[in-house]
Amino acid sequence: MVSTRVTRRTLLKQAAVAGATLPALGATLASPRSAAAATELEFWTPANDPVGSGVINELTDEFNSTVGTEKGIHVNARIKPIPGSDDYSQYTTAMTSSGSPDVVMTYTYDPVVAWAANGFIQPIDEYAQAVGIKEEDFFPIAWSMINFGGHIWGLLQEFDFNELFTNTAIHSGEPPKTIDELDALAAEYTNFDDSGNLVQAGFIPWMNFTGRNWNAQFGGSFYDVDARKWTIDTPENAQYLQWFLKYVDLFGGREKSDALESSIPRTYGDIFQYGKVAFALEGEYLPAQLKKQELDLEYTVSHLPVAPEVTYGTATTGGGNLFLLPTNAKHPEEAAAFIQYMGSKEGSLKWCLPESNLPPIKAAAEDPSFLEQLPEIKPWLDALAVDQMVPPTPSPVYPVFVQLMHNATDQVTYKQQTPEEALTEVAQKITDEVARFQQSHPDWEGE
Amino acid sequence: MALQMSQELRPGRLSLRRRWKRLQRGELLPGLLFISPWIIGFLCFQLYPIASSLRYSFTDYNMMQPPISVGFDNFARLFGEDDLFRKALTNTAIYALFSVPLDLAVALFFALLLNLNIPGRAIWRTAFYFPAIVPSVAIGILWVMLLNTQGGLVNVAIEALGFAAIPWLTSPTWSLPALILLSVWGIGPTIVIFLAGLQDVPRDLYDAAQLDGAGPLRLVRDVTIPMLSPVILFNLIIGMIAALQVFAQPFILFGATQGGSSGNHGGPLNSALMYSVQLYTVAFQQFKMGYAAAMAWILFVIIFTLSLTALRFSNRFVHYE
Repeated sequence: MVSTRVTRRTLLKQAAVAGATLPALGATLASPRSAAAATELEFWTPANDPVGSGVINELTDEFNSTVGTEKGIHVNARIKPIPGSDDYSQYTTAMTSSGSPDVVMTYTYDPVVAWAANGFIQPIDEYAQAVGIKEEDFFPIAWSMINFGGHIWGLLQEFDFNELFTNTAIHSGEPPKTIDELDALAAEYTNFDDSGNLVQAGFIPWMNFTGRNWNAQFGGSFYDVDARKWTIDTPENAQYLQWFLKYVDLFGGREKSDALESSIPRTYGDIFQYGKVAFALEGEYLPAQLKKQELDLEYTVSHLPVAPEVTYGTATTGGGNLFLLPTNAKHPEEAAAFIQYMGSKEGSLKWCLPESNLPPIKAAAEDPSFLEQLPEIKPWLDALAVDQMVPPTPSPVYPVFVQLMHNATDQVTYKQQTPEEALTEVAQKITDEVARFQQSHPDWEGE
Repeated sequence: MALQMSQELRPGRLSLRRRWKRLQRGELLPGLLFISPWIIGFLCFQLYPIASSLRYSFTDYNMMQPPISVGFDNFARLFGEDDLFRKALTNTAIYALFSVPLDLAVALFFALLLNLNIPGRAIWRTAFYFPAIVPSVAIGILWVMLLNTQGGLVNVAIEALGFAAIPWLTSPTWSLPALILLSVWGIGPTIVIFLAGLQDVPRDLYDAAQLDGAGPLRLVRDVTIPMLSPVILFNLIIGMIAALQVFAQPFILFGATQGGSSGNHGGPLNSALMYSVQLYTVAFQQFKMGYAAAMAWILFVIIFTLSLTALRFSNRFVHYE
């Protein structure tokens, strides 16, 4: 007769087997997602503010109930905020995985070219052609942001560039049109307290990370888009850095302006919004932002001042919101349909009106109702008409350039290097980076 | 002899030793099965990634395309050409050199005070530990405001004492000292470990020393610290490892506060650029995973070497009962 007695050994054996097999059992018991009629799309958006998330959810619901229903697509919008450091590491690592979202939306242009060159996102040429997306429908500058390296990489929801904001409580006269006029007014409005602290600045050229945008106002550019090469150590670029030194001397040192600038934590806004500086570079989104923050600021908007022989109305594109198709998207065709919907004239306007942004499609911006509802956007539309926009740098080593240029600007403004020395160092390092990139990415058409 | 006798007493059965080995073998398999979930987890989520990162450190790898072998090129570039790497390494070394002893000294001081039999001791202990459980992002944003040059509470106090305000986070001179001083904020766990160690110091040693005429300072120097030396060693090594990997505070402080042109979380003139922050930038903003993996392994070698050195020479200052 077989003994049924339970011993310590048998108990241990049974417990061990149970412990090892339970996880596997759990995995097999989890039923696979039932085959629904609609294709489920995963859409990641950083829009976590009440207005932005409201618009995105509304657009997603509309898509699901119209085009989605027709084509059997259902989009699940996931809000994945980007921290204030403006970094997309969560999106980047997700896109490399098998759990990649099908569509990602960005709040900035900075990572896009590097993503494209490194294969994180895929082009949407065939989908764009299928739905009739044409270059002539877009502002040239907006088109250049999505069309580079020989492909179309996504669709813009909106794009940004800076104009000159004037705090009329500090300066009520005509805004400056030339660099010399700006310098004179800035000196007039720069004030210190009894302890020597800078308490009001006329103007801080490097405020808000916009420092490197100023080279365009001196006729400079860091990158020749047509020749597809970097143009860093040029006399025009050295000129704008030399101009920075005027302000370093005006403030009595870079530390003083940094102390003023950091008196408002970046999470709250900037010192212009809180009335501590007379002139600042700000984007078209600022009016909406001021309303959200309930800040009482009287201001006017004008084109950026320029050096002699540079066209008044010249500006550098800041960035934009884009809809992109990750390479590992499980349903690229359906995802492209959603991208096309979100980046359409109607989708773009739905976002741009409450957020005070520029639509990339000419028909949307030229729609009379757009200007009627958003009259403060006019200076930006006028600048677009001047058509002297410097596009963002379509180079995959741009993130490296950003860090190097930050350092170079510090080196100059802390008087550790001359502008020429700093730019030469950056140029050399970028040349090396480009060479390495080309060696490891021979198929990239960008540079 | 005993074994032989036992064998003789039970001629038909296995020896004790062989029985014990058979028992062990019999229980080996269930034991392994029992801990297999942990083993699988360790292999998949720790050992495999560690081994992969070592492999990637010898490649050009961006996470999407297959890695391309570059030999020792990553390491050569780090030491030969990359001045931001050297800057980050130097800053981190200085940070660790000053913050670790400072944190140990302050933590020991407060542990000694919190070990006294005072009213509300539990409340005091909780208060000192509390900062350790506050999220580091919240702490970072709080300290951005406290350390603000214009109107921050720290400078208000400094100016009230008659000194000039210090540009803590906006000066290349003061940004690293600010980080070092800020490290004291997180000494709660170190205090708890010291407190635990203090409970193990035999009371009769203090009695004997007091009988010999030792005052409070002599008691601390000649009884407490020697008896606590193993705990000090532990906290030293743990503190050193944490200091060399510091990330959250500099990332938050010099991202949120950064006036001017930066935004690379390095502070003015990269004076507070920390090793882990630069590693993060290279990996997740520049998509150079292979290069970042090389940085990670260099840091591992440094930490491993320093830890081994501390342990090797610990017998000169650590007293074990």
